Amino acid sequence: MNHAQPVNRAVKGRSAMARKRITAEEMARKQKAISISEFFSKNRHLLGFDNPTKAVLTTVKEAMDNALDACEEAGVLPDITVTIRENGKAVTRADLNVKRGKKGAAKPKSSNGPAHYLVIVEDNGPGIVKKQVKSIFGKLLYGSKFHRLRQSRGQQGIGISAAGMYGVMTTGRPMKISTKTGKRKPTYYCELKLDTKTNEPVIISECELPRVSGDEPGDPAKRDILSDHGTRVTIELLGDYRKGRTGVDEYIRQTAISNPHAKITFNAPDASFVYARVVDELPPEPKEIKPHPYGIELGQLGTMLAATSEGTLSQFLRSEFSQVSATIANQIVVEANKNIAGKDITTRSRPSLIAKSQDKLRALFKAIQTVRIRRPRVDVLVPIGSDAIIAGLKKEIRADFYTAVTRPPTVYRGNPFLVEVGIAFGGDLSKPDPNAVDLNSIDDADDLSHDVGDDRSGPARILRYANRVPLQYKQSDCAITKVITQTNWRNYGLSQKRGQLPYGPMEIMVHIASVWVPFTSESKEAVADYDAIHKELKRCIGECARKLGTYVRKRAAQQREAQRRKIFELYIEEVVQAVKRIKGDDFDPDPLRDGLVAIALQKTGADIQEDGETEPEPTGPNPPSDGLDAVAASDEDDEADEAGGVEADIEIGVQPDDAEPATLFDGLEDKTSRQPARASGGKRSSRRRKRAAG
Amino acid sequence: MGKRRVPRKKIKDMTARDREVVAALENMADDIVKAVGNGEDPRFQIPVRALSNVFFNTNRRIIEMGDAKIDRKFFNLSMAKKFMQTILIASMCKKELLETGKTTSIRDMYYMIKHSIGKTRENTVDDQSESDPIIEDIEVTLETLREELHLFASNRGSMVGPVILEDGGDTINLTKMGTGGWSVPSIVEPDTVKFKESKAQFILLVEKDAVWRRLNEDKFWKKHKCILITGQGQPPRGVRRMLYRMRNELRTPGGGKLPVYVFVDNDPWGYYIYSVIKQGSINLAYESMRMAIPDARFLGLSAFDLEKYDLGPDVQIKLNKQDVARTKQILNYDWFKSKQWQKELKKMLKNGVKLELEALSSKGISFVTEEYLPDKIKAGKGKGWLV
Repeated sequence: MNHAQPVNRAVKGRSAMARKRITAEEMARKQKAISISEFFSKNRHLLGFDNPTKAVLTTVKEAMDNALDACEEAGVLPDITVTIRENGKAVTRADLNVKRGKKGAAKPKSSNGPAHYLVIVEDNGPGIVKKQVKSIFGKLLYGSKFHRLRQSRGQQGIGISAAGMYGVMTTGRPMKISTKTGKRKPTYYCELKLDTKTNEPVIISECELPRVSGDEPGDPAKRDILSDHGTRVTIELLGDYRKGRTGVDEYIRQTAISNPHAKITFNAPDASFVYARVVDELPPEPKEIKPHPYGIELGQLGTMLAATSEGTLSQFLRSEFSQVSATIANQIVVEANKNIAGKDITTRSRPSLIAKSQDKLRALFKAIQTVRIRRPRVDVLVPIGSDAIIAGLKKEIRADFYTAVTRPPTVYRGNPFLVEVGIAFGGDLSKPDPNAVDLNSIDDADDLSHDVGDDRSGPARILRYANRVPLQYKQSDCAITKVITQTNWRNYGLSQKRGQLPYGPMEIMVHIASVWVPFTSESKEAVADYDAIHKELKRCIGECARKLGTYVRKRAAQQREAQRRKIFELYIEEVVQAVKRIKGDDFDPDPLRDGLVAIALQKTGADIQEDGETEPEPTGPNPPSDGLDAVAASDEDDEADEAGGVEADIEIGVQPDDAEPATLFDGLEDKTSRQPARASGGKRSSRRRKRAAG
Repeated sequence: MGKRRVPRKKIKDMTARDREVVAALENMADDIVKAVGNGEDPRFQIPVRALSNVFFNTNRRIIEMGDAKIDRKFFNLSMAKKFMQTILIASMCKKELLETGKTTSIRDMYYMIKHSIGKTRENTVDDQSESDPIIEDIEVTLETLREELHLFASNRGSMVGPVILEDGGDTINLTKMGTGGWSVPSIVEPDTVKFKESKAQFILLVEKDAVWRRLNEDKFWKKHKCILITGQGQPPRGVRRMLYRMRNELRTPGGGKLPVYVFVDNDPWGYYIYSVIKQGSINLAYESMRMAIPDARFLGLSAFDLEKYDLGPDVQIKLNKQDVARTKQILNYDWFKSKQWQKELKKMLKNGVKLELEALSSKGISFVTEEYLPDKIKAGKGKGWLV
């Protein structure tokens, strides 16, 4: 939280000193603390307000995060309405192009250019008591979330007030809040601004809204809340509404996937969408835990020691941290004394005195790192769950195959976290090339083998989530992306260029849940690459990919079967005609043709049997690189000693046949060696070799 | 195909052999219909044409085919196409050749069956090298000869000598064939080729066309009263069958059978050509009995000629790896197990070089006709030639 510390301008002063001598007094006059608000207003990119497009997204995101968190905390199934609309007409680029008669005029634009936008997010959460409204929406770093360790969407409580501040800065319009805490309570309405100098909210106007019993025209921000309780935030800002991978529409779609228990209505400037609720159960409430000693930083420890109300060091350690017993506290003190000459730290030392001594603080900090402390409780986390992931994916993506894996929770730097992965494959994701069997390409048997995940589908799409919140920017900086690109997908029947995303008609969803998700920056867009997280991601993605690989191979086998059948059908006609030529014109070819077709169906309709969850041999479409192979192999070893995660598989479009396996087609194996070999491939091809030799 | 009407022969108008072949072809079709009727994978059982399925009949001294057969199943992706090609060729033989009384080349058969399948770009056959072995498969399966299927290979081979014969009704005097000689047809069965008169004392088969031309130009055949024949490399079936018939049907003025001398390069290929003339080929083992000439004489070039005729390094060609491997293989053939043959083959390996017939020209352009061949023939068994 160093960003949140007051920043002084000493650095600037010093650089000026090099050229012109300035007295210390002069400098002191210039050196003044700036408020957090002022700091952020000058560094708004840190919070995701770098440009008008992103400003709209960040505003929606912060408001939705709050809304979902509030609903879940209150035990209400979320019902959220997001409305975005242009407020006042701005001159658009398209207009300009028309006027200038430019070529690009006819091109449909995904954006109309920056304009004043209204972002309205309404939830059916518990509402906010009147006196808190001011602080929650008007003060940076205020909220219920920063002071505790708990898995929740927002982490620092910076977001919504920053969005409001951005709105005030760009349009001069205040933030408008309507909130209602109960059926019989009136809707409280206020307009407020944040004073960036003092970090204090200023209420411009407030009132109770008259009760109405239905939609009526007028200021959408100033309407009565119709649900029994809930909150509506309205922010007017200079923004730009764009669709696409980093757009609001995609954010809401991805949120709908990771929150299948929420109903989301999205009134975009151009259309309205309703994302239905498919899970009628609220996820269990994540539990709050105290920080684990291993996760603490030196400065933080000092602050805590100074601020604590506990009278002794032992009490401090036991009450402010998790997993510290009296014994552990004693051990820490013993260790700490080893690190300090005076050896005068005792369990009864006053925490505030230790905070004042840098030596003691360091000694204590070092001791905490060396003493063995049980890892924190990990049951405080709430995964989406593999079933809900699949439900979410199915709801928004029409694919042929879905799979999901939820790993058991584990710990990085004292913080519990868990990883979940879901994959949707095929179906609408592989829209190009509707002709599955291209007979024109069957010139030789080599062409019978098509890669299922072949290049025409483009790279896989990644849906990254942290505590159910989609991460849309900085994909390449994210640990999730790194692990996906480092995974050797060729082992699973997909094509992949080294160090790049796999190719194939699929979306890979990765969710990291933690009491404290480590982001690479305050804008919370990429997960930092901690070893423990990296390892869990690797395992989880690997498990999911293996399931996908099994399906891909099965599907490839079925496609090959279909092609074989097609070939037989073609040859059958030739054979039938030849027999007729021999037998003469009186020969009725139909029974022969039907008989041959029936046999062909029986022989080729058989589903190739998969020998369970067998590992693919490293014979992907491309020769796999040794390095990546080694990684995959060691992953396997780990897998053996670890308890597997919770898994779920759903397949659509694969109907296993009861017919016997098509062992007769062993001749094909050699010719299709571009395909990943099946577990029994070795046996088959050796048989083939034997025959060829004979 | 089938667009123009061709008058068809009725079964009763066919020759007896044609009727048998037609019945055999119909059997193939019936087997398919029967198998499919029983819900079974239709298959042909085709005798294996490979070294594994030939053996040397020591009594008759020819290569004969064993009983091993391979199933060619339709519902096996690696065999389906061949199966289809087999029945396709069989049907064409029956309908377009036997029933019309016409005969055509195997190249023509390739074109007769070649067409795209359905609406795809895939062809029934892509190359003649695909259809030729299928024809041989049908021959062995039905125990018929190629000519009985009304098929023939393209002509290859030339012949001259003091012989008069009838070919397709025309009388041909083989002493008056100019520089090119009589082109030996691929079918030389008695109903096509009949011998009228012969004054020949022996037959000389020459591997190389160029050497054959030299001998013809020097009128070697006139001087030595012999039949001069070449197959331009490995002799085709027509030439081999011709040799067999001449060997067995012609007589010297003295009343004896005509000896057959084989004159080939001194390399593994040359030995193999001799081997095929003598014992039959592995691929066509089923025809050995009507083609093999077990007492054919290997005249040269012998590995011992290198020193005997002092053939210099200019005309020597080093044996390569394949030559050595091939020679070692030939060393193991049952029919080369005699002491003399082992000596001969091992001598070549020891020489480390091979010799072409043209090597003899280094001794003078007509050395071969005036010295080498007469000397060798005169020297007799063991010294001049091997059996």
